[in-house]
Amino acid sequence: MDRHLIAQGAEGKVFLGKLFGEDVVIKERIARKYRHPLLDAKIRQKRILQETRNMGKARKEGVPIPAVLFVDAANCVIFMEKITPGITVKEFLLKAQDVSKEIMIDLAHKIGRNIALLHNIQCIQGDLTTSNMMIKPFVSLGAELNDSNDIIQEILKNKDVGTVYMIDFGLSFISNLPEDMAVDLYVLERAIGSLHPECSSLFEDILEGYKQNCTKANINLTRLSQVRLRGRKRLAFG
Amino acid sequence: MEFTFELFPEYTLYLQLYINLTNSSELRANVRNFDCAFINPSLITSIKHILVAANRAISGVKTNTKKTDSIYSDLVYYLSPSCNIRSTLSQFGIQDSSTSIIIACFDPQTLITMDSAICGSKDSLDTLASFTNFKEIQSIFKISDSELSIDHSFTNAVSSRIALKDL
Ligand SMILES: Nc1ncnc2c1ncn2[C@@H]1O[C@H](COP(=O)(O)OP(=O)(O)OP(=O)(O)O)[C@@H](O)[C@H]1O
Ligand SMILES: [Mg+2]
Repeated sequence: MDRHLIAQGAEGKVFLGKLFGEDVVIKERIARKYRHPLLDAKIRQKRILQETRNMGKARKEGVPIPAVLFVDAANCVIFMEKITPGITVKEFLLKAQDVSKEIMIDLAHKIGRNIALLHNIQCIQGDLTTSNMMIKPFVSLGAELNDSNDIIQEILKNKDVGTVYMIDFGLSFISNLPEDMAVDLYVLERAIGSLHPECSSLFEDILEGYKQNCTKANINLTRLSQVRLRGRKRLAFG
Repeated sequence: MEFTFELFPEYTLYLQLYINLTNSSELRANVRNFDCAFINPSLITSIKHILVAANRAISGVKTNTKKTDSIYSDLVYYLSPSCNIRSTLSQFGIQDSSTSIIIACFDPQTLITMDSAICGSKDSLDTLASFTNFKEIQSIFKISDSELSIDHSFTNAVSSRIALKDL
């Protein structure tokens, strides 16, 4: 079958391909040579089931998640809806010029809402970074978006970024511990700090969206300040 | 209409819609004697809904993980979110009162056989959406309004459930 590689992470490979005549994203977990083959297959299978189950659960809550179309559990492959037109939040923030405050706040609130809805169902995303989120803009009639620059221009034209999807549940897990939720947020704070240092209020605005939608926001944010302190100590003395 | 499967190129699915059905109870009584799936069009969101289910049914055959005794009852089983085989087959399959039905088979010859067994008239699958009872689908699949508001796609909501069913 025709497919071409679009990303190779530590955990697996991501391809573009076709299913039911449509463009789809194919995520494959690669075998680990250092593990016993049977044990490795079992572990990969378990992870892929956890990943897709959490995607399904999150989608039911209203978090924008690509639709899962087929899970090949035996071969550890997920076939999912391709978010198109789409751009990762990372690429958008790195490339877009003169983004209005309005758009930045809309984007931040939507990210915050997504994380809040996940935490409301005890789903910890586990790898919150701007490359694991995608923006699908509202496309005006007749607009042709051929590359990421076109997509960025389309987003900037509107007052609303569109739909913000959470695309990567490869490290997600279920937990009701405030500590896990706080660390989830902290990972994102650190990622934004290092990748997008110029977006100084982005994380604060994300937390605003989080507060408005998370049932246990107070507990989790209190915990977040403790996690931050620990993080700083580790940086200072570690 | 015919459809191929990227993952299983040796399979082709043939679909035909019939309306004004008058012998549904006779067909239902003989379901096991026909080499096809009978599909209730009112619970189908789109052709893709059928393809997602058929893809799982084929995969079940290839990996020896069939749920029922035939690929066609598996196909109907995977149209639904429910794990109750018996109730699913009657709800998503043919009922004595059915007045329209979709025939699905992997052998084009079966379409000819079925055409002589069915008392009704052929119609184009392009009219499928006019049969769909979206309200009932929303309740059977337990699709929340907030999930629908993601992309307003019943097919995406339904596909995600079918793809994850029994895993
Ligand atoms: N459903 C999708 N629609 C469109 N593009 C996607 C989709 N899923 C993944 N991608 C693209 O593939 C990239 C990698 O996907 P993903 O994050 O799921 O895999 P990964 O193995 O974790 O990769 P990485 O280590 O780069 O994060 C994304 O950054 C995005 O550009
Ligand atoms: Mg990723």
